[in-house]
Amino acid sequence: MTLFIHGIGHICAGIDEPHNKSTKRLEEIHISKWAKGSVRRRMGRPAQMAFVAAKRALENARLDNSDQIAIVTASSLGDTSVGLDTLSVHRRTMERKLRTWLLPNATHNAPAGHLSIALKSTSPSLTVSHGWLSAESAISAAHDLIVSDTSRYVLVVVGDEADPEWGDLLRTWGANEWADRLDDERFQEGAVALVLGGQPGENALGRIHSFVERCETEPIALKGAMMRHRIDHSSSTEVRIRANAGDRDLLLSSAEALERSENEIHMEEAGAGTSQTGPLAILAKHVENDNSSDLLFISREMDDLAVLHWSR
Amino acid sequence: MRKNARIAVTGVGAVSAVGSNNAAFLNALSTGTSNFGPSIRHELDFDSVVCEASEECFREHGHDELDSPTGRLCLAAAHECITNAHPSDAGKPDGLILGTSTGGQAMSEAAILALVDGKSLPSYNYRGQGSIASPARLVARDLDIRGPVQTLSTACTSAANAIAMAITWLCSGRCNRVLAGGGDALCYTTLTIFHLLELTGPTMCTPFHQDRKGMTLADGAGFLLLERLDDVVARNQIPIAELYGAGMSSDAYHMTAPSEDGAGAELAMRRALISAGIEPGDIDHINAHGTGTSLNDKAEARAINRVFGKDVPVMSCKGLTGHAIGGAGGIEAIASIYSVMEGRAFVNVGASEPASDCPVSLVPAGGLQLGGSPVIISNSFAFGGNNTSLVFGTPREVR
Repeated sequence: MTLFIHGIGHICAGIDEPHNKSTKRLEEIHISKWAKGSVRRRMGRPAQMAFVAAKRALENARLDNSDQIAIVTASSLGDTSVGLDTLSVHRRTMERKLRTWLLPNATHNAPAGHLSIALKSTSPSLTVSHGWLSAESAISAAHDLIVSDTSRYVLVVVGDEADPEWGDLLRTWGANEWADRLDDERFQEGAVALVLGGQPGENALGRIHSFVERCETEPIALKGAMMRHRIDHSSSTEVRIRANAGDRDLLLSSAEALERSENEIHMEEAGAGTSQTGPLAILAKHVENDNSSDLLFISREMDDLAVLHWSR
Repeated sequence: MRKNARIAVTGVGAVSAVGSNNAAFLNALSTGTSNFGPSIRHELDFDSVVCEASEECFREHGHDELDSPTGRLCLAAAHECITNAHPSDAGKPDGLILGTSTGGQAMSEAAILALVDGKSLPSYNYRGQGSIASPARLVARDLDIRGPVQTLSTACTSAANAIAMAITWLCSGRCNRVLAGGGDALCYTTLTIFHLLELTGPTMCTPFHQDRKGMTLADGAGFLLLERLDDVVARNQIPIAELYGAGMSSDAYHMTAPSEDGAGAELAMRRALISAGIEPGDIDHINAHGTGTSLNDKAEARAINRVFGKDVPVMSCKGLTGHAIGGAGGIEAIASIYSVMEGRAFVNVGASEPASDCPVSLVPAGGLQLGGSPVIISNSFAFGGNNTSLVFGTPREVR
């Protein structure tokens, strides 16, 4: 089944919001338009970003029954700030304050919970996490909810925060892949939301299809996976690879599977080094700029392969 | 959730504080024997009672890297499930949905605390060991599962949601054999947050008891092997149970407290009944979420009463196993399947008479005979107002 995008919303450092260049953090999350003070204060930073992106997507979709929308949120890191606050209770030398009213945000599904309360949606809500492939995993989960008639529309929100202290810790551990990403200009915190449905409607912003599988990335396996998932890449004029920096295997495999030259495929310069919003932020820019090209993202993290295809 | 195929359970695997295999779990259910005490693995600066699993529940995997306690706990339960599956099994799983609340968080905690103390954790790798998705990667790699792999993290409904979503993978034909469930090992963040939110009690939890004082946190993991019933029957295998249906809902009420009347829980149960194609009167027994907190038990009991009346016998596993957070739904699904297989409801450990604000009937000591083909609903509820109910029974053709 093909999914259709009915609305897009985002709050992303580097795309549409001022942010601190060194920490990659948004200077401000403009949430007051939609959430009053008491509600706002109970949300952690990831939930606030998810909330703004979701509200913008729902406005864009002009749905009048958002109380019946299912929700899928995704992040890789979750609310790292609250996690570090909590550990500071144990090691007071960390010099972070414990903000007890934020504690429930430590659960990975906190943004989904806040959203369902705000939207008064009693529909199911799910939260997925798949490292750098979380966006693809979330769209796949939305597909499952729609194809099983669990919900007519699904609000997908993908995002992560950039806590500078978390980045420092990763760097100190020598977690170089991550530290490199945090140093990369394009690791910027943010959230992107999509309203997805199974029918095109009048104002659909294109079709989207996605999957995540544990599979080999030889050309024949890659080709087979895309055929199994009925991804028609013949018209995809723009192909992007997201993988660990220097992973040319995936580039070469993709080129062979898609019957293209390497030069026709865009390798993300810092590998998968954009934030969790990675492919969705790029997708949002394409849709909003009325760029007519199809987009095909092929991504790999460890043993897992993800493909996301969008066409207008 | 619509189903266009019937779903068979062909294997189960549970590990928890009451034992490292299915036999130990079934024995604990039958005898009502729990296992709790102060935390041994965690140095806490507050008093706690927890249900910690023994070292043999954390499976070694033969890889070089250090893996998280949650990953190793899930791996043990996954192996137990595959071993338990019928010997004529047609092949290994081709899909994995793993539910976990904290994933590899214990590894990140250890790394952070070591750093703060001026030590180091040389083999730490965030993606492979510390991330939420790391247990699924470990299980998929160890069992060589090729196909879709997904991590769901919806706090205490994680494993139940994994089982529910496996229905869609099988019905859509994406997979033929899905390993679904989940687990969580205790970590410092979980213990501290539940303590600070005053949700944990000073003694072993007593679900639905008049003087219940809060939950008891636990290690635990539970997985089911799920297939299309037609495929199982076609190879002349009798499944151990059928997953009749699943229902999911959101409270849309509060992040940590259920709505007082249990409206969200009621909605999940009613949706599960619709998915299963049965009526409330068809349910013989309820495996409740029953955490032993004042608000949750009261809300759930009210919801049960509205859907099923007061007479359907109710039990909660948590007086036995404690609350395994993301793994609870998997363990309790297995308890429900054992009730289907054995035709009896197991004792509600901690209370034989319900509290005055919990209008339900509890399964007494010694358990209850349910008859030949019982149908059982298993409830899981979570932070964020996330609710999931699963319905299990005897495969209908072979009843």
